[in-house]
Amino acid sequence: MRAVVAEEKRTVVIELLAWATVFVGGDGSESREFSEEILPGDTIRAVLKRHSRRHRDLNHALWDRGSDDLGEHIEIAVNDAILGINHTLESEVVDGDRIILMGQYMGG
Amino acid sequence: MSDSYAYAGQILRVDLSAGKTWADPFTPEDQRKYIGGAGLGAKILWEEVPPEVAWDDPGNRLIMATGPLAGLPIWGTGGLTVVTRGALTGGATNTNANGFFGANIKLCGYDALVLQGRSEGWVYVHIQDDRVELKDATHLLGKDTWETQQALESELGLSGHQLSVYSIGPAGENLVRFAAIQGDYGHVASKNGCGAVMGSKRVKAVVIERGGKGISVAHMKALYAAADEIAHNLQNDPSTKGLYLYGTLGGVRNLHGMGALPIRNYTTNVWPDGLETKKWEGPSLREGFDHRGHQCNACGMYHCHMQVISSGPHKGAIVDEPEYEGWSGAGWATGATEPSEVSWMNTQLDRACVDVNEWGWLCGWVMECQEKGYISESDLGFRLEWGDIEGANRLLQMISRREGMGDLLAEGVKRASEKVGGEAADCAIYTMKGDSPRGHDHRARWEEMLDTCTGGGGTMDTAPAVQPTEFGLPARIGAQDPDLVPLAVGTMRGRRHFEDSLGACVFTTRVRMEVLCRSIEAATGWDIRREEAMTAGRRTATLFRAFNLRCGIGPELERPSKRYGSTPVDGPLKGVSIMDQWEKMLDIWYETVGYDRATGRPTAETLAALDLEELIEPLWGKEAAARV
Repeated sequence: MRAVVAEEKRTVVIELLAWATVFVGGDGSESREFSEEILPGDTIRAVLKRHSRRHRDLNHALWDRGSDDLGEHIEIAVNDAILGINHTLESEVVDGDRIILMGQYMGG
Repeated sequence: MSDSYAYAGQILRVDLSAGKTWADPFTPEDQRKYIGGAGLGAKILWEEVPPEVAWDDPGNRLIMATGPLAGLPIWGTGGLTVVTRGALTGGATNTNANGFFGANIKLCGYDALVLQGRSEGWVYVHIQDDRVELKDATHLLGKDTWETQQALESELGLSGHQLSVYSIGPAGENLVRFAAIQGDYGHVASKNGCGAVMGSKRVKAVVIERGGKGISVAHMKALYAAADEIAHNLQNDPSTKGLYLYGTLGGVRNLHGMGALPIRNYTTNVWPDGLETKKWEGPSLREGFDHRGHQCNACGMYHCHMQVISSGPHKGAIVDEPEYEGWSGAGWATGATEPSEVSWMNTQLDRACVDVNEWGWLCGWVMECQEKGYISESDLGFRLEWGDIEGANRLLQMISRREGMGDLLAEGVKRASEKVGGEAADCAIYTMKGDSPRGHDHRARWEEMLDTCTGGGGTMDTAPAVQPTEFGLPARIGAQDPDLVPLAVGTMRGRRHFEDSLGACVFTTRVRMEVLCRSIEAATGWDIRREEAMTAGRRTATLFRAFNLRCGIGPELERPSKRYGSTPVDGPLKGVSIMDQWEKMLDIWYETVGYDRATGRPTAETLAALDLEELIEPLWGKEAAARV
């Protein structure tokens, strides 16, 4: 008889901060959190692609249409470090990672 | 009426020593080559201010210029650019304010005002169409900038947008090296002590009544179409939409997330425990105050506002809603975290009239030095602790009047910290040229630190990339990418100088260059494209650099102070050091902009490509000039 083992769901948190919430239906204040299920081998790029496909405005703001790489409008932090310090878009995500999206600053 | 579209075609000259005024032509050839604003100012500075003329010498020029878009129905077109030899660096200054100055002076028939010489007694310059007078300003001495504007409104019987008053406060009168020029209640040309230069000329204010002259444009329908396109883009672009709705108020929360909010003089990048962070989001900073729109000429942005202080000891006071840099310089850099207090303090800085950025680094430095025992209570005359707004205002008044230790602090953070010396010197934030960064933690924004340290106008030259794909750069430029950052800063160099030459606000020119060029083409009739616009901007940047080199400001000064270039101890950039990459970044930047790495001089080839052959001989000698 085979034992049935329920595989535990693995997830990352995607948090949109302040102004970035307008891209997922918010009013530009506080934050919105989403739990995103991840698959083996998923990278930060893959998770963000999958997530942004469900939010048209976020998809438009997050990616550069010409290159399909990150656009200029949103800054990203992963586990409280700016993307590029400990992670790149191609880094594999692990259960419990926290990806924060925030609006680029305008100066002034 | 001018011979060319969009320009008044005249430069108003005021010789304060002789008490004379006259108008020089701004020729169509020079209009196309230098555009206006920063470009025109750079030309005059280079040609008329030799190195032996110091910032406070009567021979220095204070150039207040606008450009071809000023006064037209495009958003934010009241722009003023101030160019002079500045008090902090002793080099060129390029600093902007908005409001209505640019529109009003052009409607009087001038593209620029040049103040030269020094008045015997204090005066204000009164411009009323063709009538230009120097009037006694003795009764205005000691008044802050808002009091000065109110007094002149009352004296002249005009209010609102009928006149622009750009004045100095007590800080400028007392030659505080980071004194600014403020106008139209809250618009500040703040960099490199331009207010001290105005004070050294004994000019308290420039007063311009809205003139009655027309501005002709080449293609009116096309101009309205271009104006609509700019407005549409600003309202719908994912980045500028926030700017359109809330101005720069969103900066505090965003920059904290990036590790770029400067808290307590760069000693931390983490919010204090228990902070109610929602209060610092854009919508809260707007809705948390009774407010009213205070837009610049023809502007439809929800950017500039007046506020009523909602609580605390100054409840009910009317203030100018701070820009992000006001929240930062009057607040975060000094540890102040209550918005109503910071907002009040920001306007006190505008009224005494100093640069809010230099203020933040100076006041934060004093607070840190007191905490660590480097500056004693008896040295300063009182105890000043992090976040003490009333104490900060006391310090501001001491500095503005050069009272007690305020006399030393009025020299700016670089000079003051070097004078105090020891460990105190290591805590101060500045560039080795003597200016200071704007109100960000540039240890998290490498492009701005590189830009500020190599900049030629008393602040950064290029600013963060706008629409970088238009220039062949990736859309995404990682803020700590040591290869891409200097490439982007170098490649984009000139865009901001071009924008600063238009008489428009840089928040409304954040559109693709092709769109901006369409508006200029409609206004002037020129067939202008991005390449020509960028060449004009790079020409301006190069003139400022040449001026600085002639003043002895060279590449050896292109680095941050110890604290400015230090490594963050916490936050999202903890342990990441820009200085490990500094020389490499300079190498790339120099190669990209076409300047010589060893001497800092623009190469002869670069000068020739920018139609600045006349600079080759003064920079490189006769032989080099003969070879080109």
